[in-house]
Amino acid sequence: MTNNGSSINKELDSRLNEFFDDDTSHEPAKHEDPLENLKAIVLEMEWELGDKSLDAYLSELKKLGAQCRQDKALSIYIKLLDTIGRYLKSKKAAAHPETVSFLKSLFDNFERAVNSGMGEAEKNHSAAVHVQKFKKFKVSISEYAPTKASKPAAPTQPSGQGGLSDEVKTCIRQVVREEIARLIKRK
Amino acid sequence: MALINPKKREVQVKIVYYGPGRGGKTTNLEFINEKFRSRIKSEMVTVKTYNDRTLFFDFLPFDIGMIKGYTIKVQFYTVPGQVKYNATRKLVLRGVDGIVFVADSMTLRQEMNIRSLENLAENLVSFNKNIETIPLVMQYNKRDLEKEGIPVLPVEIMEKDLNAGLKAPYYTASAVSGDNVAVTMKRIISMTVMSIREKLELGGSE
Ligand SMILES: Nc1nc2c(ncn2[C@@H]2O[C@H](COP(=O)(O)OP(=O)(O)OP(=O)(O)O)[C@@H](O)[C@H]2O)c(=O)[nH]1
Ligand SMILES: [Mg+2]
Repeated sequence: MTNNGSSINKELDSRLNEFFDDDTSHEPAKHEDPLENLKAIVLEMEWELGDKSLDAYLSELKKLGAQCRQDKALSIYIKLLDTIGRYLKSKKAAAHPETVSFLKSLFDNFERAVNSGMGEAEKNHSAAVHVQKFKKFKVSISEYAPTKASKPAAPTQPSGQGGLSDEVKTCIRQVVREEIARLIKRK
Repeated sequence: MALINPKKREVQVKIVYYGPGRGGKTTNLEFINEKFRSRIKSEMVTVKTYNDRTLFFDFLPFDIGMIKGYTIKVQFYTVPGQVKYNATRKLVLRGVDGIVFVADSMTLRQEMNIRSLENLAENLVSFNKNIETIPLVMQYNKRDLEKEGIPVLPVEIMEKDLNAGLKAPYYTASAVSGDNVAVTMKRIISMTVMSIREKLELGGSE
């Protein structure tokens, strides 16, 4: 029985090693489709926001922009996505904390407009809706900056080599602070 | 209880990520789901409230392939950690085969970790299961916060608080960066499958 047990154990181990192997060949391969590329980059940006992903984002967006030039609604989306991307690139950690999620939702809608076979009118409408949302978001960005500046700045740490991005750290700090405040209130 | 289908030669095991609210259970599964996306053929299901709290559970199923002629399907669940959701936690725990207890290393969470572990023990009793015998892996999560200057419990304290009697294998981890997330998962799969090996009719398979 022990024999049997250890042989399963071996087989199991090798299975698990295979599954959880850090094989880079499984990493998202470079696609020909700029939309797919962009999607992968956007997902990555949710995870970690650095110059590398932002540059890749802006350059894929440019390619896509060239392909969609004829389509008014899609061009509007691309313009918005580009503006937000450039804003993120210039502000990084100091960007409005909801910027990445705003970008993500914008991208999702853009993708839908590309892929779902929407009619012209519907596409234009959806683009217009997002222009409005974008305007609102711009307002919250402008309101966000001054309040942040008036707070005593948290000690900034040099951004580590490859660790969490500053944006993520800022988010985490904020969540933790809120939680601590809540915990103290409860006591 | 693991579902074994000898006809289809398929085993389904259920592993639950348990622990206090905001401890990082969902983040664990999300990391795995992202990182090993190409190997996981199914979708992760997650039901969250507006501020990212798990409302019901997260669910991530995948096959790890064949072992001794059986296809092993693993289903991962997370429970909602918030104290008020105990009925849901019990529901999710039904039929569990293995548990990862995700403890929050923040010093402020010391008490919540202990209470959540007690709650796990109680809930298991209601299913006639025993926390001391069920496959269990401890994960001391959010170790990265230490670098941020946030007070974090020393591992020895966490061990004493949570694992002195249980002596389960433990890992320090950072679910946001993925440190030890896959290792934790590998360990619990391995322990869980080993625990049911006698139930698989393996004797004659070699
Ligand atoms: N710094 C840091 N933050 C983490 C870590 N793991 C999770 N978090 C953050 O902690 C918060 C809660 O994480 P979740 O994964 O949603 O926690 P949960 O245990 O599923 O919470 P409930 O669903 O309420 O039970 C999120 O903001 C995560 O980003 C970690 O290892 N380090
Ligand atoms: Mg959760």
